[in-house]
Amino acid sequence: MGVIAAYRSLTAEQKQIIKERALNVNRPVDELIALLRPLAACDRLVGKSGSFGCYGALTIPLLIVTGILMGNRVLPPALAALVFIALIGAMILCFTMWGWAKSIDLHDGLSSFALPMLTVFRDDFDRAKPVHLQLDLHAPDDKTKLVSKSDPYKKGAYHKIIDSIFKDEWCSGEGVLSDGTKLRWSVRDAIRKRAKTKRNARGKYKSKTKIKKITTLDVSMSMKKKRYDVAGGEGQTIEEGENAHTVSIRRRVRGETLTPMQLDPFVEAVTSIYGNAKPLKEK
Amino acid sequence: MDTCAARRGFLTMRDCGEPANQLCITCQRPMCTEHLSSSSGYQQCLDCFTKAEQSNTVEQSKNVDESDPAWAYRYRRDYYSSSGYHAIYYGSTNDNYYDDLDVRSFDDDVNAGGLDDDDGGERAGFADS
Repeated sequence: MGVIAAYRSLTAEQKQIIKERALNVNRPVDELIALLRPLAACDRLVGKSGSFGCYGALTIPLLIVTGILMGNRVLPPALAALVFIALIGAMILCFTMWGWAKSIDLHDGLSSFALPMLTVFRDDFDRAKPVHLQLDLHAPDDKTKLVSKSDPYKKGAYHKIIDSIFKDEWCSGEGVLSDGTKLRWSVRDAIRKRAKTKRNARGKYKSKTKIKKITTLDVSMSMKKKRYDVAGGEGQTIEEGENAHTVSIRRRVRGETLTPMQLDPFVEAVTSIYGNAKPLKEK
Repeated sequence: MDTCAARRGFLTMRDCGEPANQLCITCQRPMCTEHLSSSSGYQQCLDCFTKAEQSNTVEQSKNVDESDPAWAYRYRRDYYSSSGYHAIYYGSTNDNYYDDLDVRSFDDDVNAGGLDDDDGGERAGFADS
């Protein structure tokens, strides 16, 4: 299914989510998965549609060649004009498609983290109770997430460096598991994008962008005292309530790309809490 | 026929409990449609299907395809074997099929009565935004 067909098959609610780049819902887990799965499928196809831009760019040298052939009268004028118009049309179509696909591109965290997480833990969530999920689907380096931008400065061979800091709180949620445990999580990225420009020995200007990212994952689980005894583990803090132990854990993951955190750190955090919980016999 | 013998869940495991409509051709356990692998023509249960993949040393769970019903079971099996995590079993069947997953129960013997899932009236209380 192409990206256009995939987009057309979405419901009005799903198209609205794409338009607003935001999701904030309370739904049972099965409904949530049914809502997000087509969005993730469409987004994956969008990710593959970068070739529209390549095809559009390919028409430019072809136009130049056609123009030269037309000028040198190698091609009959009528044929050359036809080819020229066809290439112009193809170029406009490719760039329009590329621009449209970019406009519906969603944060990769939907398909790399949120949906897989719900799928893996689908049978752990209480099916009758809603899961609250909040997603910010703007790109990690979208201007809405820009916190600060430095003035240009020099360092070493680079005569112009600009640092942009982004804060991307892209996923949070809470739900009740089938054993009564309340699970809460949040994932946020702090991103530094450094654009550097220098002039090399041959006088050419060279630019590059480097990214540093710290992902902070916070997980807390309120486990019923009548079901579990909690010993705690490394990096875990425990708060004792009247009916439940609340175990919290924080994980930090460093990265050098905008690719969002995958599922494994979250699963490791949650299972480390459960791994240190001892189930109690019902009295 | 009996109820489905599959165990649901990742953090904790519980019996599926749905009516079974077919036996798995590998383990001969009764299975509901949800726990039969479509890739096997609904002949093999998801556990046997993913076990066979694991024994072929194909690490497929890294390729996220959550639309594939077997993917979550693949991920579960791979994660349990690589991390050593032991899920807690809330159920009442004495089935040694899952012995290799080394699930935890309340003690060495299965609690025949199972655990009451009644929350005692606690409500999540989430409101739609």
